[in-house]
Amino acid sequence: MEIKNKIFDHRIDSLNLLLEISIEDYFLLSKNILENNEFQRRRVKSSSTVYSLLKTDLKQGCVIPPIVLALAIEAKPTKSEPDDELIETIEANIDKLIILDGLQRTYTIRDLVKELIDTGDPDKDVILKRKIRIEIYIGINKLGILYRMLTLNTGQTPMSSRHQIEIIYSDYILNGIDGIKLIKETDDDTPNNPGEYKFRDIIEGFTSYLERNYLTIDRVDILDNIKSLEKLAAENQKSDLFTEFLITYDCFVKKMIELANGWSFSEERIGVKLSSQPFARIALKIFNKSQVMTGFGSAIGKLLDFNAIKQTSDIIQMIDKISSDLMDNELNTLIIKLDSIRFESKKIGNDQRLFFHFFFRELFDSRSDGYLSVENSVNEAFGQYERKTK
Amino acid sequence: MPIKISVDNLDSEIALDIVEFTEEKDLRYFCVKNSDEIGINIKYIPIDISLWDKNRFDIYLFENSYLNAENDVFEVYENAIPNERLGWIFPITILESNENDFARYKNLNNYKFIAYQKLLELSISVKLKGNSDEFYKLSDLFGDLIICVICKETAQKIDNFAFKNYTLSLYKYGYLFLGDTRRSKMIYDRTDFIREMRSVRARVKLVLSNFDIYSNGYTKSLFVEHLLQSEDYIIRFIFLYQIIEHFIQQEFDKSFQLHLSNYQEGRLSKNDLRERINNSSRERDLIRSVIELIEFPNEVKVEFMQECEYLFNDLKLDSKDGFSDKIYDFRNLITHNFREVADKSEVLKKITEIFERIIIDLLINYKETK
Repeated sequence: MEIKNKIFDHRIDSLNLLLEISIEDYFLLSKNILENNEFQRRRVKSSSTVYSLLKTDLKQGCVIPPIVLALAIEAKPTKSEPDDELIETIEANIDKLIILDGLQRTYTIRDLVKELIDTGDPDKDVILKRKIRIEIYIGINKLGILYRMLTLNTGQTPMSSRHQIEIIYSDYILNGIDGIKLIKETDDDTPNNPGEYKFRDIIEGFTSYLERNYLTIDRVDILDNIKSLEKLAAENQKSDLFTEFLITYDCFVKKMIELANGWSFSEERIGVKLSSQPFARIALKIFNKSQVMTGFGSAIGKLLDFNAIKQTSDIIQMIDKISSDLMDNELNTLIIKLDSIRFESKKIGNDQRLFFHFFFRELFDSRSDGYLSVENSVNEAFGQYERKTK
Repeated sequence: MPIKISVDNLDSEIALDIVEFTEEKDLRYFCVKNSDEIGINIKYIPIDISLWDKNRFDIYLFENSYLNAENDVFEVYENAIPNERLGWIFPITILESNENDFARYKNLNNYKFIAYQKLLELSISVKLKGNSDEFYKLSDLFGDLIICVICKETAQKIDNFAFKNYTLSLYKYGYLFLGDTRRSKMIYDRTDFIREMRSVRARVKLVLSNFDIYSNGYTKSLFVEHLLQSEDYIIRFIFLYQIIEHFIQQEFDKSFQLHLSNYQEGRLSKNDLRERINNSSRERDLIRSVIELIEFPNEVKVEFMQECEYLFNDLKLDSKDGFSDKIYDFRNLITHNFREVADKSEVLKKITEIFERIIIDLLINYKETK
């Protein structure tokens, strides 16, 4: 690996290195990246013949565009740092590398190397020693990575924003944030305690926040990515929005659990027959669902856009002020309204997300009728939901 | 019969005739491709897969303007074998979401996997957006539709089973066979029917139609080519009344033939013949003889007569008491005096809705007289 050029990217506050690396070394480096980040392991199996053509071209010594990687570390190296120290930093943090652009090319290179080894190709050694170019953004923060992923991907087959966000924030699964535990889907574990959430659900909520859209869309076109970009450009890239988002949401959930004070839903007790199973029977299970998080995310995003709040953490002070003397009744009403949505909805999950979007916009907008009142927010949100869908 | 896709940046369609299922650690998807490995991936969202052989099942596609909520999932039965489930009918949404009440139904989950496979083998042309992401959803290819999957082995237990012979029975539930364009119109208020279907987790019970709507050009155009799907209830009434006219004609032809042969064989005088033909051609009597061909459910008759009674009272008009008389009076009102009642659209629409059910019952249960 040899550094050929260094440019500082002032937009995302990060040093960009252009390096040359042999195909063999990149094969080893990429193995680490793909093993360390399961969200980067998904592969487009048969999207086109382009990649099989590329494999043939690589064998013949074709030059491919640089593959772009990112290294998110605390240190902020500058252009003046010696090359060997930069390389040392990269090698010491190899498990933190992320592929920003060139995932499919990486897979093609890996296929080629495996094929050369398996077939005992006579040109194997020559091909493995051939150089390719890679770029590494070093010291880049997570939002910067996201910004760069979006800009790099707009011309090609884009990943959905959600997939990109999953890749970037996956390290929080390991370490958690402020005592909040994020649980992977593949873990045989469900969030059963306050402060525990499914990583996927939080990612959906955060994506909804960035896109100001309560729908969790898997597939987005370029236009959607550009919209996200515009929103990101408006945010303060120096703060960790994801952490702020998660802590704020967690704070809200804990407040609801506190106000619920051991409430549980019982059809017999309130004399109502629901059409099916209730949305949840206890407060924790209401608020650790994806539908609520996406509604929260998109609502907070909108409140920011409309200048109803200045930053996500403004919500924390509001949460403190939410009070209720009749929380049992309010939560019962919430469950009944959600059952009514479930009974008639063409897309239950989406409609529940829409309802919660309105709920949070009511609850945290000082100009609304539902401001800081769970009861009024539930009723107002349901009214808005009906007007929107009927 | 492959799926053909076209994308923005390609002029021609690409036929994808290979369907493969892939299961990874936390990801399941179908890859639909051609031999050049060009293709698309469709995410598999239901919680279970199935080992059932897809060739044991048939798939049918519908639209329904009334029963199209995510929880509108029903078991399908046929009245000849009332204790054996024939299959399931459900919206495409349950193949793309696990947020409904049926996500963990073991038997249904087998059907969901079959539905994916069957859908991806259908011959359709789809225009997809260029620059796609890794995964499509079924609805990106098929839009919003209702799917019915039928178990062939169970169906074979029914004599001469042919699914198309249940078109009218399905129509009663609002299911219309899917054509090239969406035609189903939600013009009636069927709130009570919808609520009942959802509340009791009702079954869709198929009843064989005695009248072959495919062999008659007019009924075929109404119910198969969806000519009936007009937003204008008066047009619907006129279309539907033509079926009464068809049966009236049949009834008249039969009695005319009978009187004529009686006359020819000397059992009737010329005067008697003239009188009987005159009597046979009275429309009110002919409608009665058509309506008496089958036994209508009492609640339908009562509902129809009450609504007509309400309308005629409101208009301060007389009408006769019988069920067939009410049909005839209503027909006369629409045909001769519509200009007087055009402002009564709600009740006219309601009566037309009941009349639609009456006509479908008539076709399903019709028995030809000798």
